[in-house]
Amino acid sequence: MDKNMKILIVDDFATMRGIIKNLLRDLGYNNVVEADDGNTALPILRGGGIQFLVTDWNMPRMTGLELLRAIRTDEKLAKLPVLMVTAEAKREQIVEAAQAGVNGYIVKPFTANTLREKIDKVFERIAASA
Amino acid sequence: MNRKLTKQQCLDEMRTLVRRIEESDDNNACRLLDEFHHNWDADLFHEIGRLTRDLHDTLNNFHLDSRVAAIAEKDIPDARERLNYVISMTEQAARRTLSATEEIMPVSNRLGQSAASLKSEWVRFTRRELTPEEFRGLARCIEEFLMVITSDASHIHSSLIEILMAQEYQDITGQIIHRVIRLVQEVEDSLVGLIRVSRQRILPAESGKEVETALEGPQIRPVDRPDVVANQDEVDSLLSSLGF
Repeated sequence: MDKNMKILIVDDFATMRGIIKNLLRDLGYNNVVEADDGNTALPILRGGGIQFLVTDWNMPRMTGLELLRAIRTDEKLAKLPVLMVTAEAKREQIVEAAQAGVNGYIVKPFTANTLREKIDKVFERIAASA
Repeated sequence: MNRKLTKQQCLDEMRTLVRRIEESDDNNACRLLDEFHHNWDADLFHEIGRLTRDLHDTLNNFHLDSRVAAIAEKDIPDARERLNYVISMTEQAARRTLSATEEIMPVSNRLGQSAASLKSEWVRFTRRELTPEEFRGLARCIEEFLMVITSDASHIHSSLIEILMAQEYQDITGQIIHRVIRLVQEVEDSLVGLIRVSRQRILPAESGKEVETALEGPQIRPVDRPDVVANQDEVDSLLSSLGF
C-alpha cells in the first residue's frame, strides 16, 4: 500500500477530522487533505489526485451518502476507494451504504486499531480484484 | 336603544316575555327578545364571543397538533436521555484524558531528570574532567538512558493516541446537542404558535412540521434496538453477509 497516497477526510466536525488525520499520520499516511462536507469535497475530488476518501455520513448541505453516489456516477472517480466513518448505526443504513458502493464502514466511536484494519482490508480487496 | 334596567324591571319584562311565548304571540315575543339583546352591553357580548372563539381555536389546535403531544410524550424524555448520555460521554473523555496525562507526566519528568544529570556529566567530559572510571560510568548511563528513551517514547506515544481518541466525544456529543437544539427550536415554535392562535388561527402545517428522522445519529442504547448495530463487529458481520 502506498503510504504517500493522497487521502481526503470529509467530516463537518473539525475535531473528528483532526483525530482521523492524526491516526492516519500514525499509520504512516502523511499526505492528507480535509473538507467539511460533500459540497466542498466534490470539487477537491474532481480536481484530481485523491487516492482514498474517508467520509462521515451525516453532514450539512451534502451528506456522505450523497457524496458517495456522486462519486460512483462520476466516470473519473467511480473507482475511488471510500471508507465511511459515521455514527449512523442502523442496519438498513449500512446496507444502503453498501449498495451505494462503499468500500468500508466504521461506526463511531471507533478505535485506532479498527481504522488500521479497515484501511488494510479495503486495499487488500482492491489488490485482490485488480 | 341602550337603557339600564332595574332588577324589578328585568323580572317584569322576563315575565311578559314568558307570557307572550305561552300565548303563542310570536311577534311580540321576538320584539321583546330583540329589546333584551340590545339592552345588554354590546361590547361585553362582543368580548365574550371573541373569547369563546379563541378558546375553541386553542382547543382545536391542541387536538390538531399531534406534534405537541409527541414532543411532550416522546421527544422531551428522549432529549433528556440524550443529554444524560452527553454528560456521561464528556465525563468518560475527561477521565480518559486525565488518566493518560497522569500516566505520562512522571515518564516525561523522569526523562527530563535523567537528561539533566547526564548533561552535567557530559559537560565535565567535554572539559576533560572525567577519570577513566567516571567515563566508563557515563557511557553506561548513556546506554541505559537510550534504552529507557526507546521504551518511554513508545509509552508516551500510546498515551497520546489515547488522548487523541478521547476527543472523539466532541463529534458525538455535538451531533446529539444539535438534535436537542432542533427540538428546543420546535418547542419554541409550537409555543409561539399556541400564543398566536389565541389571537387567530394559524396553519397547522406551520407547527406540525416533522423533524427529519432519516439519519438518527449516535445511538444511546443500541442493545435495545434490533434494527441498530451495537458495535463494529456487528457492522463487519452484516457487511460480510452482503459479500464484503
